[in-house]
Amino acid sequence: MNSGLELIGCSVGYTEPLLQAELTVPHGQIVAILGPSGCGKSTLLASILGTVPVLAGKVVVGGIDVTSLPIHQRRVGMVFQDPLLFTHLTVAHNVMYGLRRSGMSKPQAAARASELLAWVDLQGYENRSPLELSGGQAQRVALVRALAPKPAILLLDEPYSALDADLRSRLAAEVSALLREEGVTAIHVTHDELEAGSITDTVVRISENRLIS
Amino acid sequence: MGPGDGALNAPAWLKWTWVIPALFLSVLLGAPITMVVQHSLDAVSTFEWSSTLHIAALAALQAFTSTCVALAVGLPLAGALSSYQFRGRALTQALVTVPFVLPTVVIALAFRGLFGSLLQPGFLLVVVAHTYINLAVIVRIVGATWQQLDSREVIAARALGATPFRAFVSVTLPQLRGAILSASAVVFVFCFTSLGVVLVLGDSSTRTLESTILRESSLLLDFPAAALTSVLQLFVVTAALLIGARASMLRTRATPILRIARAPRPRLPRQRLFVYAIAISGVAIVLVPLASLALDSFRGQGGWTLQWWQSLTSIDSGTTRLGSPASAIAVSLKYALISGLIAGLIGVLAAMSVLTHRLGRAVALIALAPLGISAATLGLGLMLSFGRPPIDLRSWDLLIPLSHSLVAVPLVIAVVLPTLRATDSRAATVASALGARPTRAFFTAYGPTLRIVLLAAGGLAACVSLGEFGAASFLARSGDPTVPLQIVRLMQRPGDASFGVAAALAMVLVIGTVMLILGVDALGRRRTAR
Repeated sequence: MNSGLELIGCSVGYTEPLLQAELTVPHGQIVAILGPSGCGKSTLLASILGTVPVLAGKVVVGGIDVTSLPIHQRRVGMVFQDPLLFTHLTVAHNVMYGLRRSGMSKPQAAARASELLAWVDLQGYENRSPLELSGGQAQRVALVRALAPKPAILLLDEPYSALDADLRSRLAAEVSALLREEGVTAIHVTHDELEAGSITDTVVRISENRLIS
Repeated sequence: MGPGDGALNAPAWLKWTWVIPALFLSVLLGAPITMVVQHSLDAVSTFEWSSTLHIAALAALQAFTSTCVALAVGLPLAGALSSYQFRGRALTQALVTVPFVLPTVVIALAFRGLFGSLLQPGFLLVVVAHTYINLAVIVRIVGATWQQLDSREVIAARALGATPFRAFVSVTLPQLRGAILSASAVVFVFCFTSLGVVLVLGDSSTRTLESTILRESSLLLDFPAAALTSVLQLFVVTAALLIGARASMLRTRATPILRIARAPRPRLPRQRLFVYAIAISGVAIVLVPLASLALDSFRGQGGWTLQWWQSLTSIDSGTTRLGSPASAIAVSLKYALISGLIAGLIGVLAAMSVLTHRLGRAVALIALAPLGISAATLGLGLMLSFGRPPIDLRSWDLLIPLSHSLVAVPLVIAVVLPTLRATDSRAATVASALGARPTRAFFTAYGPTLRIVLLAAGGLAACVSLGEFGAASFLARSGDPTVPLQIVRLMQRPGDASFGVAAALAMVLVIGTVMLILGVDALGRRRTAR
């Protein structure tokens, strides 16, 4: 089976090593990373994404060593705790953003954006401003926006923690089902053990500054 | 735009944004100051120290008195606005700020009209006008600290037997000391370096070093003496600002981290009387001179008239043979537009560089220098550096907008920097993760904010330019006065006609300034709504 993500001898941190990581995630698997606050979960995701350099080791995404590649060439999708939708663009244009960057024509991108929005029950919201959406709707748009350009791996950094408990569990289950349906490799960082166990294939823990699968 | 977030994918040009502001400042600030210092050395042996020091002492006395009166009027207003919630509080707060943003010559003219028959130009009139202009500084700086104080400490003091006055003196006042000193330093510097107000409302007892520099350079053509006076003034201003900066640190230490309770409504009749009397007095103090100015622009010897407004387009009513008073409006608008573009661009680049490069912080710090360097020093330095052959930027109509840009850049940075800091840099990371190249990712995240702040900053700079008098009085050619210059020249001519036309011209400036400020405010609110 192809590997979705490999962290080989990675030392992660801004200037001093915060975390040592050795991890292999098979293609199509959803892995949860659990750990207490401040243990380096988000820094690890930032290193995979490319906003924080790895101090040592290699990051391999979809079989390609991306360690020294800039973010826009890594094919890594990211969903943060906040949706971070571009508020000067419509909902559809947010989803089209990554599609247009990958070279898709405008009409094709618009059609694909409509399909993706329908996929998360947001058909008819294309021309709305992100400011008109509820928290759950905005997070679903952020998810399909990240998935639209078909990233090799999707990183989810506590994406439901800003939502209320009811919506959180419902959306987590929905998103998990969508990711499996599309066969997307995903890393889900959370501190909620229950959520981690219910929506992911594997749970990996960080302890004593080490992450080992 | 934080150094950590998205740094690996930040566009390469971003770390060079400090270069253009640095070049701008080193040429337009460095050269004039060097020139002023150089010229001042030529005057050391022949300088009239005793008369200049006498003027400095007079100016210090005037500035000290103005500061004390501004504190006496401003503190109760700051207290009422900070300690109580009441109907009309926001409007009162906004109105109190108005005099500070209006051109000083407009305010001087309004006071001349209001008190002309009661008070002769001189010390008292200058102090009253300075109090009016600086009310906003006291209310804003002291009020910001006052709002943070925990009102329960006063209640505790009252419960221990203190009278309201004793509780204020022993509990509230010590905590406000830093803010009061800080605001006082700003007001003192403003009054000490006053020019427009002193020229229109002053006499020989209210001369300032600023007006002396203008006299020495424009009338006596003694540039070395003017330069040495500028250096002397620079020392006094720097000392006052250093005291203010020290006081501001004191304020930071004394300010509690969070406010425990929201300001209460005035419940007792005594409290209501105090709050509403102070607020209504504050509003009246602000509006009466402006209303008087508006009426003066419609009042002739035989009653109400449109004559002064109609005269705006008549060459006979102007102060030059080349144009009518209204032609000064075109000159001011042209300078405001150029200043808005230059200061907006330089200020935004300087603010961006603060967030992206170590050198940017140094550049932004240097850009704040015009706040402490008086308009006369700046004007004189620019004239000595670039207003004479072989480099004569005056003939290109560029020197005045460049001087206005220098004055406006610190304000632009103060407006733009917090806005850029508040923009979530993760949006650029998201755009990059979606495949956007660094420059596109940057503009996806910051473009909408930058568009708005650039417009708002340009509007603010244009507003500064419209009302600026000090530097323009050194740099304007006699045939091309700006509106504030035209107003002062009209005021220096005898007769009611000149006063009426000046009042109409001043009203045009008030309307222009208020419209620009409202525009900038609307843009700010649009940004907040995003």
